[in-house]
Amino acid sequence: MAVQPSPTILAATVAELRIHAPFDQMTESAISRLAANLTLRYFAEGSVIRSPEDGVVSTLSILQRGQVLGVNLSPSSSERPLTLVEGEMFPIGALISKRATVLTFSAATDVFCYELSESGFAELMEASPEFRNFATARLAHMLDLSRQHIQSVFSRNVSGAQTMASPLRSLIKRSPVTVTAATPICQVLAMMQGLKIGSVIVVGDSSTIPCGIFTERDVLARVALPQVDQSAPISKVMTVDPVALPSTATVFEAAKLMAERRFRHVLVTDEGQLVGLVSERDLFKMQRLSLGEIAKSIDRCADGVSLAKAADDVRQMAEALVGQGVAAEQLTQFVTTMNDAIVGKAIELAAIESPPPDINWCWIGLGSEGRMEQTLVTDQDNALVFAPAVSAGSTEIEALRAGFLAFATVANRLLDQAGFPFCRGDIMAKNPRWCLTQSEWRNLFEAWMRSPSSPALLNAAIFFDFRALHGKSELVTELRDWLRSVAPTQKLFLYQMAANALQVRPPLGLVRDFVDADDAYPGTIDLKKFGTRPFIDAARIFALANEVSATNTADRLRQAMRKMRVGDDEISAYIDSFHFVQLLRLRSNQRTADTDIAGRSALVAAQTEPDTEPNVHMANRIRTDALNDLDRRILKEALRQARKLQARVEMDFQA
Amino acid sequence: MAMEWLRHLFGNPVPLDDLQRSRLRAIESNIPLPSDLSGISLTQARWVAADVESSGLDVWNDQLIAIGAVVVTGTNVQLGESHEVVLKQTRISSQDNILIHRISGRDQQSGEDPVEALLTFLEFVGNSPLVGYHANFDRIMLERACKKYLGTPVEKVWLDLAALAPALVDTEHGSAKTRAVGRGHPLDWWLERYRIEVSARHNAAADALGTAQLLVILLSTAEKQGVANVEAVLECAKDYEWLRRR
Repeated sequence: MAVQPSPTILAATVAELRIHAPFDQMTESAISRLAANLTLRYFAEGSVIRSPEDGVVSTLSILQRGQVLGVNLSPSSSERPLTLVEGEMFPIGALISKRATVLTFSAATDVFCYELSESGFAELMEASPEFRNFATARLAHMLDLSRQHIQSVFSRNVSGAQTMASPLRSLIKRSPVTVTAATPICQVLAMMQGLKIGSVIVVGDSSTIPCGIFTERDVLARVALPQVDQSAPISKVMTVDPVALPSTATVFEAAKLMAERRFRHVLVTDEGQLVGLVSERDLFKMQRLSLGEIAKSIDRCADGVSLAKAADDVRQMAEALVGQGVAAEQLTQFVTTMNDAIVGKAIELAAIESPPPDINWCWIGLGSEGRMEQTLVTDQDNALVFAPAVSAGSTEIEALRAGFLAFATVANRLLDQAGFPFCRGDIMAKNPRWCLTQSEWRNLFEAWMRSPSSPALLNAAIFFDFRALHGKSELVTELRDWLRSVAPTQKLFLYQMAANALQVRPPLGLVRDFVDADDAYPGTIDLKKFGTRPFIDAARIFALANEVSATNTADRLRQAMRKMRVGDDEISAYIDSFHFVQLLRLRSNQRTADTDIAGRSALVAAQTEPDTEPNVHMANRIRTDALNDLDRRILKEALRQARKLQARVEMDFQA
Repeated sequence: MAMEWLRHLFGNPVPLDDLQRSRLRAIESNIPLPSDLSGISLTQARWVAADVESSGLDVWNDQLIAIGAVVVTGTNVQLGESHEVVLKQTRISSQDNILIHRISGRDQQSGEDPVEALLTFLEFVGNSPLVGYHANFDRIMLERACKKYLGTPVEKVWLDLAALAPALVDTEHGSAKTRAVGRGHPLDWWLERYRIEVSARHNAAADALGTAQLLVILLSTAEKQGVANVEAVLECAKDYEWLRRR
């Protein structure tokens, strides 16, 4: 009976496979051949698909739908179960090395798997280099490679070889001048004059390990004005234990460190040994705006107008950094650090205009600000906590609140002027609902967790990412400690939160499934909704359930999932994927006219959209067909990781 | 000769040649008995999930246009062991009908010779039970076509998932025994329930693939309920059908 297999059935099978890597890369003939060799097998929930007892593996399984758990059942093992989701293949390692599996794979839900016989697998490895590469290289490596590629693309697009992503090593021009700690001050000054250098590094008397730094600026403040005896050793007037970074650290990291701590020099050391010195001036040459300059200009701001100017500098700087290929994690950190400084300054200015009551209080950042994940487009999300005396009655508390509200109204207004628009949901400290005492906050949080209605869940998603921004941070720490101890016991709340988080499913494929049917913007994907939110939501739930205080998504995933005994590789894959989507978002957030930068073509023409809030709507959308092939592949992989993370949420929080 | 004459009378346009006749005889001798089927465990059983497209919903007057089928063994859908064929039509079906199955007039006219198409399909089926959803429609359509082109209806064993599914699985109507039975749920209801995606509804082969996936889920359910062999599965569906008719 040599009937030809049904072309319709093979085409349907090919189309389903094509959603996933590496099948999306395979040639038509190889994948058609594969489809004809496949069977589609059903496993009822709970049944074992493959176990070590089956002996040498002779079948490749490709998960078509449902979830599979891989568990190491040997008593000595402490491995966490592995969750496999649609499109994943198993057990590849065992199949290639012709051994039994170590894990027992079972169906966590009803499962359909495509199955390929050993000979079919051999044929496929032979016929398709794409499949072979995929099967032999581990998945995580793909992301690594892609990231390197992105950086190299970025570097090519920036004039000159130097970028903020270059290693510090590349900035070091000559070996630094050192003196020993016992060298008299006058000798050091003469040397600086003679060599025309602005700084010297001080090393121990009998070693090359740096212990201090002395710069031109120190001469006036520490030597000349205090009239220090110039025969005294330099160690008396040097700055001790200067900040050092390894030579592999990026230029950006050095710049950020200088900006944060207001230093002008950073030592470069490898394993304690001095390699070089990088000054702010070295970095300054690279760009029109210096990080340190911005930080200082924020410090100097005396009113809302100058604050707005500084905030604009931050935005310009961030955009320049995106163009230079700085990684997403560092970028959002930079934006957050600078925004924190602006918020701090706005609050200081507000306190002058309308002084807050003279008791302990703290300004709270919420949402992305709380998570330290701000991108370029951001509005206000803040609140305030204050601590009245224990004896204070309700009249007294209301009087205090009125004082704080007046103060917060000024601060919110200043921030609005500085380019952080008012929150549309009115989640701001000037709103009496969000200007509360510690016990009021606790009662509110408790009420949300006790009866998790949808508005309560929505609020929790924003408020539970709270972070102290300015004022008495202990108040916020106490609130966090309390939440950390209470949240894990709120099972119903966690389940509801999980159910909420699972409502948005990242699409599987880019061509067929990327866009929902009722989408108002065909051909685009909302990177916030489908890309970053699944990671953020999952991280919050895991953190709350596992007594983790961190608010940053990467930190939460790292700390909580370690407690959940998830392997480091798996955690890194989630975090890398999250950062990749953030990077794409940052790139599409960019609004400068520079068209040289890779990925820019993916920008949707926001200006032409007849939407009332085109920027808010479109800023998180990219055209999938305008992404380059590699970005598209990584995005798919990143979205797959998001689904995998959701599967984990589903598994741990099934009601 | 009398046979040929009779065939003409029943509308067979072209008589079978010798080879076709011997193929038909082989097919007809390959119908399993119930006792054969009770000996086959569900893990070894071979089934053929099938679906047909026709010129309309009138089972007695409309024409068979296409057949799609895929083999299931145990709980495996054998994607490579599948079949689809369009039968050459003398009259093209209506525009509305074409919009349902999307087999164009040109495709209908350039289809396979019906005799060859039916013989090949029946050989593909072998002695396995055929499986359909609302299978009576598919069965009568096929038997009428066989009668017309091969001179005999070639009755095969059929399993109707529209009867097996509610017999095994509780639906919102209550338990399998007490639920009020009407015409039952449409195929789409079950496909959705089990998240079975069909690439092109009302394409015979794609629908057959969907039917096959529903079949393996139901077979696995049956096995759990102690229904252990092919004959018992067929009985289970028949009992439900009988209950429903009462």
